[in-house]
Amino acid sequence: MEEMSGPHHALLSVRDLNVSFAADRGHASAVDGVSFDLYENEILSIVGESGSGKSVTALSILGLVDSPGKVDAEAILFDGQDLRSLSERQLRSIRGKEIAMIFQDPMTALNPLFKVVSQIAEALQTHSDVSKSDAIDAAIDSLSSVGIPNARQRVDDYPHQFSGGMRQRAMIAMAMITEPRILIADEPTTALDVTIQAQILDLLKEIVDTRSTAVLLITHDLGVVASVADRVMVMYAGQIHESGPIEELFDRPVGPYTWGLMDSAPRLNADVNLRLSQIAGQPASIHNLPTGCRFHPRCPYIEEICRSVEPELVVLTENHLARCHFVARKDWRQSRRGGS
Amino acid sequence: MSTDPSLLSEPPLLEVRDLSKNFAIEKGMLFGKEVDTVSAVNGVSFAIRRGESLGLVGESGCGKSTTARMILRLIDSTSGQILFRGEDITNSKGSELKRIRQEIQIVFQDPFSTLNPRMRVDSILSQPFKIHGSYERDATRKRILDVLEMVGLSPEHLERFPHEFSGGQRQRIGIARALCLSPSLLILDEPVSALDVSIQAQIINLLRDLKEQLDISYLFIAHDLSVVRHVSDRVAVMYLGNIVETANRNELFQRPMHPYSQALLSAIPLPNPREQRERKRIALEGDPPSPVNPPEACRFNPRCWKATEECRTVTPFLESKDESGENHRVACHYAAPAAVIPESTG
Repeated sequence: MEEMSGPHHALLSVRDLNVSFAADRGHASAVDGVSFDLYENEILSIVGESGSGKSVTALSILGLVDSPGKVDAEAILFDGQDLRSLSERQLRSIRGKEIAMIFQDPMTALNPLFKVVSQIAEALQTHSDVSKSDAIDAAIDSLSSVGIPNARQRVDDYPHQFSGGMRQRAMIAMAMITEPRILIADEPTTALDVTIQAQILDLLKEIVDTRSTAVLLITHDLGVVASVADRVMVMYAGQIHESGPIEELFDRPVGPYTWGLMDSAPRLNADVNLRLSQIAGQPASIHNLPTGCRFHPRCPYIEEICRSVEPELVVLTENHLARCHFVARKDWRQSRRGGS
Repeated sequence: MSTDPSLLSEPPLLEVRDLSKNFAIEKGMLFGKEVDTVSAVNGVSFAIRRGESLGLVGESGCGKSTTARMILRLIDSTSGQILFRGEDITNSKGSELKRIRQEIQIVFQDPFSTLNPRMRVDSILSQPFKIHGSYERDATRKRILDVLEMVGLSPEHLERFPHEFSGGQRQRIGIARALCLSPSLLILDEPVSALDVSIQAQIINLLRDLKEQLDISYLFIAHDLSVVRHVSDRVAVMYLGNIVETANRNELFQRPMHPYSQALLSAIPLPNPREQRERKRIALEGDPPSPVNPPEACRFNPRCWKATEECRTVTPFLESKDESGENHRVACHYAAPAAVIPESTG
């Protein structure tokens, strides 16, 4: 499988990850042959539309894909240790401690009946042998460190007394209290207003810069990717469509789906008199995947081979991979996109 | 935007004057005692002309959806006036209200919860005619087929149930339902926020096409300014129940004058890492305050970097800052234009 080689040691290495769900007619493949590495001090973003497999990829790392889902991989290595070889009990000592996760909707992730600080303290007590009062103190410190003002005075507050942005900060405080080495953030700002989103993205960047945590950021928003990510993986119908460092990917994208995604996003500084370019048709359904290239029914550059032969992920430069039959053609990008 | 001179003589299609809504917070289960009020909308005024599209933007809790619900008369306003074609509909009831509702239709955000899962598309689209007493089998059928074609669906879709459609197609059905009775004003409440990016573009393009074909007016409510920009002729920015700035589309995006509009525009991430890294961002601290006890005078003053004593004591009202016929009005003592969106680099 394709390696994403990097200068430093990978904290997380996923190789040939496949996730399928038993469905009425056979198996529905949600993730197909996904491989990637995550390094210290970086934000790797997985971007894609609903059903692209981006969340399932994250959940399978944590062993959170429930039956009837079936996870199969060549390797899921965390710090050199294969997570699939661990017992549920051993996995529990890593999940939430070494690898923490935050979700889209902080209101449903917090228990409305318990005080916010107690819930954060509980996350620490679950994983280490600390007294209740020490855990509460640590929780207050953790809340302060994610930018909650006067955290000590909020020690008796319940989730409903926090605003949406503060709740997401509290979730991050809970995730970070065990000083995890990896933070998985699944659409962490999608439910928030833009001015609050900007604050939370700044906070994620600060965490990576100051604590050497690695972040796996799942989002559908290319603006969010461009703001904070170091590298990005574009997923379509369960497969990696294109991946690379963000400058490379935004400056020289080669995958037709990446082009479609970039062109259809409304931009504040694009010519508003032009129609938005749109990707034709509907996203592929995992219950009924097209033959050949999974993007071919929506692709404007389709040729005969696309209908019958599934393209491989092609290595273009050291870190830039793309799944399309034509990306290796010398004039592919220039002839289709123009420019340099 | 060029305004047809003939339009200036006729009253605006919709005019809202000093509209306010307070919700009472009650305590006690049975004999509720009013303990507080939420000032959700606080003296909002605007007009929409025939064929014009007004984008109403702001963050959650700013009162944009409450404004829409008052216009549709789904809730009563606390004070102020709503005029439709010059006629006061603020207190309309019964058959009069029903007549007006044929002309003002709404498309909702979530295409999953707004279509009855037990009805076929055919029945869903027949409902408006039945409710308004204009159902005639053949004529209705013809109209439904026309509307389906307008929104990019085909006759075979009529026999299907909502669950057989994707999100984008369901939103097309929602738009078709709103168009059935040929309304003159469509209220679009976050119509694309629940959709995937590639599908968003399809629906935005559809809304632009429909507006051109049908000479219909839109009140387009959204939190995403980059979406609003593609569908609006004019834009009004709301903050905590007030319109703080309004102007023609390009003017508002290129020369925003209210500090809140500037902060909002600068917070929207651009899908370009270089532009995003190099742009100057205005970071707002904290969250919008609660509308239960909104700040005195200018409601934005606790988060504003320009705020002075004047802002804490004297309420700013929308005042014309029009220098070039761009309908620019701002509610700020220190309004000054600033460019916050970098030019596109590629």
